[in-house]
Amino acid sequence: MENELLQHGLNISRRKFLSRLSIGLGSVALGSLLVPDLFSGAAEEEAGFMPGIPHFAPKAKRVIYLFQNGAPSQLETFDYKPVLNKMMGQDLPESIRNGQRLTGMTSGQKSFPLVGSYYKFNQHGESGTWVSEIFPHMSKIVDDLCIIRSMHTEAINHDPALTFFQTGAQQGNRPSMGSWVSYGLGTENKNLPAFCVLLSRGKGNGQGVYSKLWSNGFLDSIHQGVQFSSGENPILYLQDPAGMDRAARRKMLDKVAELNDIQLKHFGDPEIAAKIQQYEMAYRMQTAVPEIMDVSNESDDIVKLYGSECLVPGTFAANCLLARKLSENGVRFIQLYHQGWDQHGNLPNEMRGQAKDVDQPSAALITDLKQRGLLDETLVIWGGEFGRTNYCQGKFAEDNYGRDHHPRCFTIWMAGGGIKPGMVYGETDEFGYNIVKNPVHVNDFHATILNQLGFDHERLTYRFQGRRYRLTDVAGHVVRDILT
Amino acid sequence: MQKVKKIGNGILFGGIIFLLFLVAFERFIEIPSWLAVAGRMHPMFLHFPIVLLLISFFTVWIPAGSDTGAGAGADADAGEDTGADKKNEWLDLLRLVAALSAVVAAVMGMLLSLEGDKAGETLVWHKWGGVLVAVFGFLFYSCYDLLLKKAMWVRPFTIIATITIIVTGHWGADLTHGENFVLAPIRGEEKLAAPEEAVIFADIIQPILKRKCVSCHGGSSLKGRLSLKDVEGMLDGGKSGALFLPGQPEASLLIKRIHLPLEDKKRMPPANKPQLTETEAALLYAWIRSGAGTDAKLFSLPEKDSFRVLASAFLSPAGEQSMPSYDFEAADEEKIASLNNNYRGIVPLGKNSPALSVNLYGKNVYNAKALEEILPLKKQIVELNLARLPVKDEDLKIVRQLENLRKLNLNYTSVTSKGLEHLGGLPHLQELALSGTGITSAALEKLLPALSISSLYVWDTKIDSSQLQSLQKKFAKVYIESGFTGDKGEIIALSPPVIKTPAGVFDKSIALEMKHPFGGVEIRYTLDGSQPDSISSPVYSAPLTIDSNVTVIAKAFKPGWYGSKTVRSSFIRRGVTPDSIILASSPDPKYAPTSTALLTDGQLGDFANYANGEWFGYQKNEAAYYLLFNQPVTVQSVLLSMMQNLRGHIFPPMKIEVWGGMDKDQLKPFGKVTHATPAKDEPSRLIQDRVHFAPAEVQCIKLVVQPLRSLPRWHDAKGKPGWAFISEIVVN
Repeated sequence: MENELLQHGLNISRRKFLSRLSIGLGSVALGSLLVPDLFSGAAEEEAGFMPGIPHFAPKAKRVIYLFQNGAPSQLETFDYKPVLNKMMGQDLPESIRNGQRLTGMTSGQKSFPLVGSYYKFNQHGESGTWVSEIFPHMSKIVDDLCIIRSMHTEAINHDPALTFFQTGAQQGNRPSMGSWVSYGLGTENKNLPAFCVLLSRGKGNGQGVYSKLWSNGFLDSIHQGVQFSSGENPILYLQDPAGMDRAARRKMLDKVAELNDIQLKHFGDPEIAAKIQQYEMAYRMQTAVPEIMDVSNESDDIVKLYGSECLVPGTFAANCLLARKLSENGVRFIQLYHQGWDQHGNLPNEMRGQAKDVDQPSAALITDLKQRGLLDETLVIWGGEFGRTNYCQGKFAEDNYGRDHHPRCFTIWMAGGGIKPGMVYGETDEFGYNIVKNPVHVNDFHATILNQLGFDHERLTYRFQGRRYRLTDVAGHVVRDILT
Repeated sequence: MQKVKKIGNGILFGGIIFLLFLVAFERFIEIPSWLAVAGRMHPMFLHFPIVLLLISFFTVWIPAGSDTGAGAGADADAGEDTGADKKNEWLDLLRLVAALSAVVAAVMGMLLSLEGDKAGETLVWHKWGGVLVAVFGFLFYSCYDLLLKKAMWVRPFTIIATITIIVTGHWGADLTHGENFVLAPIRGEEKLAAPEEAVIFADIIQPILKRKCVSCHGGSSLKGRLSLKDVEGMLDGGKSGALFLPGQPEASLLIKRIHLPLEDKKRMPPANKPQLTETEAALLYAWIRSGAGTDAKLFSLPEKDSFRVLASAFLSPAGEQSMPSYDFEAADEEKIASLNNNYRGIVPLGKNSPALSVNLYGKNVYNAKALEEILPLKKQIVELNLARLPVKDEDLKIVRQLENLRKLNLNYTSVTSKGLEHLGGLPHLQELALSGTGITSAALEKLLPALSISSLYVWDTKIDSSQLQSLQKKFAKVYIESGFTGDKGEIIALSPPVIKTPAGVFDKSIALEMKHPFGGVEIRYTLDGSQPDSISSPVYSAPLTIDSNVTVIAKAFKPGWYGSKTVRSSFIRRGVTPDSIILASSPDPKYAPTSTALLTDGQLGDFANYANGEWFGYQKNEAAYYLLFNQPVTVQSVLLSMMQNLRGHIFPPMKIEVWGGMDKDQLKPFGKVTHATPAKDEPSRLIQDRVHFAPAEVQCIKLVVQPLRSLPRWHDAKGKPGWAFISEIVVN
């Protein structure tokens, strides 16, 4: 009885409830008209983004990143500082350093003797750009390069700095730049992976690279970088085992696909479909990869252009040639690493060797892309993870010195892909310690690259663990001054 | 209540008269500053009359008797007549207050308008509208009964008055927020002119003024007696004089005002209004500096003029959204998807772009059909990449049908001069890559006039440098890239050949394979330890069968190149393998592999890496092994493969002794070798020492290796004991 009274008191009949509900729903619907793509499913991916199609027409369709791992000194390569030669051996003025942090390797040093470049600098090209004598070949193509002297980063040690450059975060496990590009642009040639990695090592003091740098992070595993090694089998597990011919492999794949198809029909899991496709792609790669690795048909001119070292697998020269061939075949992102640039000591000696490894092939790659009409649509990047100090680490001698890590300024270059050629961007102070004009942060660098590939870096996102992630995370500005 | 009404009535009447006075004599009036404050409250106060008037108009639309709503039951005890009277009284009061507020707002508005200098057109309309609204309010209150008597009048009256309020309000909004504030979002962005076409004032300066200045200095209001609506007004200047001095931005009022600090009273635009962006401010500055031209075209300025540079960038924002526009429709998405396959990728240039880019791959699967199939998309395809495919001349007939093609890549295809003729009918083609094809200069001379090409790539073709020069001269506008030609006189060395068969130990025989990755290279080799030469040494053609210990030395040769450096590799034949090995002394704990099987695994070891866990290292102890055989075997030599790395203190051992016998406990000395101390600059490498002895049948061999006791005098660490590193033992 009491219960019935209570219900009467509440005084909500079913009819009333439904009619009020419809008004409520109506208002919600009205409000939702203001939310774009609410029900179109685009919110699941990101509003307005379809994997494989850029936000706007890209200037660059592919990237070749010649990473100089270990951090080559900007002061011996592209950032000419005659003041350091004049003040050779004098202490770094405290007003310049201003108490900024140093690494543990030199923070205990009693003095910080300035040291100028052991190598001479000369002006080259129509742009009159200063380049060190250890890069005679790059000097010749300086009018094709955009040299950025004002890069800076946040990390001061190799691992975090490298990880930051490659993934946009200093901690690991985020997707690599190449993975983002693969996710954004998709693959151009379905017979090759969209993201390839090539390693080489110079004789200089080196730092390792590791597969987390080309990991897909939280993105789909098809976006992971595929490492090509220098041996007989450039891609591990791709070759058929001895005794298995193509026909047998085909038969096996067909059977496996049939079985997978049954599972797919049963569970409807798209990962199964992806698996079938990946097997098929690996099968096609079995013919596509050996074709690409084969350099026997390259002309004499090409080998002379890159230097005969390009015929020795595993060298930087061979990797540059391979990078050209891969990009020509539609690979979106080719990541090279050349190790051995960590000159804490014995710099004048070691850098010469490192430079010899990379100078001619790097320049050759630019020339080669250019003569095929591909430089316009291929962005080439050359640089390390940070710079080196303007003072000497360890024992000081004019012809034998070392330089410590320096994140506050360093130099990289870019070429092609809609970047202004023959340009020097940014400026450091006369000591080469701080940036005085147009600083470019690593996030800005990423934003600019994505822009060239046709993406608004703020909209190329992926939802993971409850939030959207970007390569540039929450920062980054496109450096428009260097764009054509 | 009556008293209140009476006072209100009075004020209302007074107010309307005051308003009419102001209107009539506005030219003669000067506003004292305290009254100006009241005037400035007009934009806030005006909302009261709007709401109150609209409500009171609304009441005449409620049908009589509708007041017996849900609330009526609450005062059921009150008489019906008194209830209606009371209601009418309240409504009357509402009309009064509404009319009052309308008049006050209008008066305030008048005061505000008198403060300004030159009245703009919109302001005049707004003013008269406001006055009319005040009059309507007044009439609605004071003549309500009269209106009501003619029931057919009252409703049209409210309609007309409502329209007047809306229109007047709209003009007001135009004054405060700028013209067409309300409709701007649906009118769409103004299109930027192309830099080549742009007229300086109309296309660059005027849009900036329109966005940021004209709401106060333009048609609707003319603050500071300045109109920025058109060129004339701009040139006339305002109350404070001329706006700018052409060529002298620093001395120009305009530039001064826009760069004053935000707090400054004279700063323009004022702090509460939308500000000029940096680019806009820079443009105005550069415009004045370059002479403040008006009707001239942007491109009539010198190329390096900073205004021209800035304005060009402003009109065509770099990078982003610079999607070329196409005048054709997008193709059907499903059609595109169905034509995509593993060897043919068809993708739009970007989101919302109708243009398509097509790439074909796989020289073994290519045929003309692959091209024919994309013809349904012939309107949309703007880029086509056929590089390195066996594309024949007649296939270009299909390509010719792609009417909107901008970019065509035919590098290293089988296309010849004959095929080029087909490309004549591509009016939009801009980039053509023909590197590595059989085309000739003559064919290009014929083709180029028919096209509007901007870039041409002809590296690695039959075109020589003099032909190239004449081509470039004839077609000066075309960028012709001929690529790396190389220093023809320069001869460089080849890279060495690769010995594919890994060096090491073999049983019985082994096939020795070599290769060189480059085409046209000859590999010559020797097996006797001598240096191979390009004349007498045998040429490698097929795998060599080797059945004894050899060291192969190989070198690559090719006409036009210097011979390569040599490569060498050693192969050691093994007779018998011990069934087990016992370590009679322990290696240094840092270099002590877990399994003795590594000593007979056939691998000679990597001399560059002594810490890879495959090397047995000894320094303090001498190395001693028992090699045990289950069955008696005949042996005559033992070989040890070791490392030499002088900088790393790893030296050849001083002495190697071999003992043998049928039983571990009864061994006889078989032989020994000693090793000379190496010279200072010997490189790091693998070394092998072999101990020969008279053939004997054994079941056990004992090996003793004595590391160098003290490093030689020339060494940095002279006097310290040396290391011995052992990776392999071979018994014959």
